[in-house]
Amino acid sequence: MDDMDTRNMQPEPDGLRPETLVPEEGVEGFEDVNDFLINIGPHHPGTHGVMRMITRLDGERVVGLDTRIGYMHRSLEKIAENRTYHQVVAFTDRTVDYLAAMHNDWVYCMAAEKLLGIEVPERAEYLRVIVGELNRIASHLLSLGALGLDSGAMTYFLWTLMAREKVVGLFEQLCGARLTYVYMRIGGVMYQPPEGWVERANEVVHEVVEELPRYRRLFHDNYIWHLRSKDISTLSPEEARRINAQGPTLRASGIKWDLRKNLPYSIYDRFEFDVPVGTTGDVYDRTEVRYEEILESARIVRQALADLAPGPILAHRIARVPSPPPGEAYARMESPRGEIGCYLVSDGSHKPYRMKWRGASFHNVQMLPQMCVGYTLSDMINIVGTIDPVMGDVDR
Amino acid sequence: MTVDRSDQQRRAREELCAALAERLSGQINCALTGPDEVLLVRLELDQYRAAAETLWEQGLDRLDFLTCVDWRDHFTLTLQVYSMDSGAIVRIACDLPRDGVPAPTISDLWFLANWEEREAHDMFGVVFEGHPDLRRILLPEAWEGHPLRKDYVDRVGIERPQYF
Repeated sequence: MDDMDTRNMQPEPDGLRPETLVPEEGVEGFEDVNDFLINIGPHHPGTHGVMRMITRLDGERVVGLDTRIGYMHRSLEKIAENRTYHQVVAFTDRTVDYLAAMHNDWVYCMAAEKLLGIEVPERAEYLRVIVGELNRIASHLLSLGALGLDSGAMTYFLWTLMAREKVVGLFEQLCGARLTYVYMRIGGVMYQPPEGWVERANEVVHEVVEELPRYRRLFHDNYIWHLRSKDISTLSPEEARRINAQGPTLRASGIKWDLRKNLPYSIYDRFEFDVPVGTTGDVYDRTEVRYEEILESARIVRQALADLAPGPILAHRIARVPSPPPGEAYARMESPRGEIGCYLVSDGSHKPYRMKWRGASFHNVQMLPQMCVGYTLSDMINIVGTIDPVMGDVDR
Repeated sequence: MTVDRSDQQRRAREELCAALAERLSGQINCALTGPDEVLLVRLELDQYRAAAETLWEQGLDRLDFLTCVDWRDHFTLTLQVYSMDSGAIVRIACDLPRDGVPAPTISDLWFLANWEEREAHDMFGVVFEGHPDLRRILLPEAWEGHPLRKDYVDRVGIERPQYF
């Protein structure tokens, strides 16, 4: 058993056989048992969805990890090949990362607009930035709360969900949906904000920011949390670069890289905001980066709400069944979990010839063995929480 | 600010083109193409690995995506990478016969290419030579066929409604 590399384990056609869960030798009296396999998932609260982690343990220490995904595969890319360009928008927010649905719709629309050569009106760009950043706040709040739940801080989870509820209520006023918005359209956004929405959005952002010091007192400055998170799963900047870490995971390692800042898309170059970075890249830093990013997103939302000018929200003369010229386009952006992208290939017909989705969680989950090996099983659950995987994004 | 960045990117692009031309010892198309203005380099399959190595050595250590497009008579293998230092984005594309010819792996260079190649293998049936762990990733091991091929027929054979 010792020479078995769990990361390169051979596939088993019908899953893990029960006999591989116990060592072949030394069961009698457990004399020679010093490492064993434990199966976590596909259904387990710690995996944040349907993911299976076949973990090799030495005592309580993780020495190997094999991640199996695909339990929620719905083949978005094949579905998109059979739908018109407008119809795909409804799939991108529920089939992939459903906790940041605005970002997914947005990146798809950006790619389609590049193909079709559509200029988005200014007000629509502002509204996109506003809802995108509000969605980032909501997503980070849920992520932090779920991490608290994983490590035993139940109250914290309820608090963050209460704050998230306010943001979700804003989306409900705006487009009638609370999770899968379909607010973006190719060429702009769908609805004008209702009367009083802008003021309410300002209030909500203010209320969420006011809440944050409470979270810090309860959870982030908590001694128990420090014991559970500091120096756990440290990722040096070199290692983070080597494994192409992204989003908050990369920034926690001290690399100041944010597509909104470094390669601005949409109108992000008009706003003032900082890119929070950590120092050691451990579990603690990753939560801190998310915490700070909520504040920065709030800054962007406030600026965008102040600059929001009246005007059209949808580009003129967009065909109901558009057929872009043959070609390919790639759009990418910084989602709450990292860099997402959409690669669209057109053959001149009214359906995408090929759509490739670059999911942030798909790549984050791939890094798990590099992050978890060497730490204990209870730490591993926290580490999975810090990369914030959304299984819809992993399996697509 | 914007001018600086585009200038810097143009210089980085020219350097990349020179490095690629030197390594591949031939003329390569180095124009910005497509509506999204990335550097698209079309290659032969036997140049693919060398070009990828060149890009890696030039510091384009971030992988955007690696995928295939099925053009019914052949595949196009597409890889897009970028650099965090210069902001240069390069997409390389090479044609690949649909069956029988393996593509060289690049999973030893870009860490993330490991699962991307597994996904392309799963969905298109492309074999990546030298990949450490080439097995299906999203579909079960016992699945028949490769769904993103254009001629794929699923086992249940449902007649799909044509919306348009």
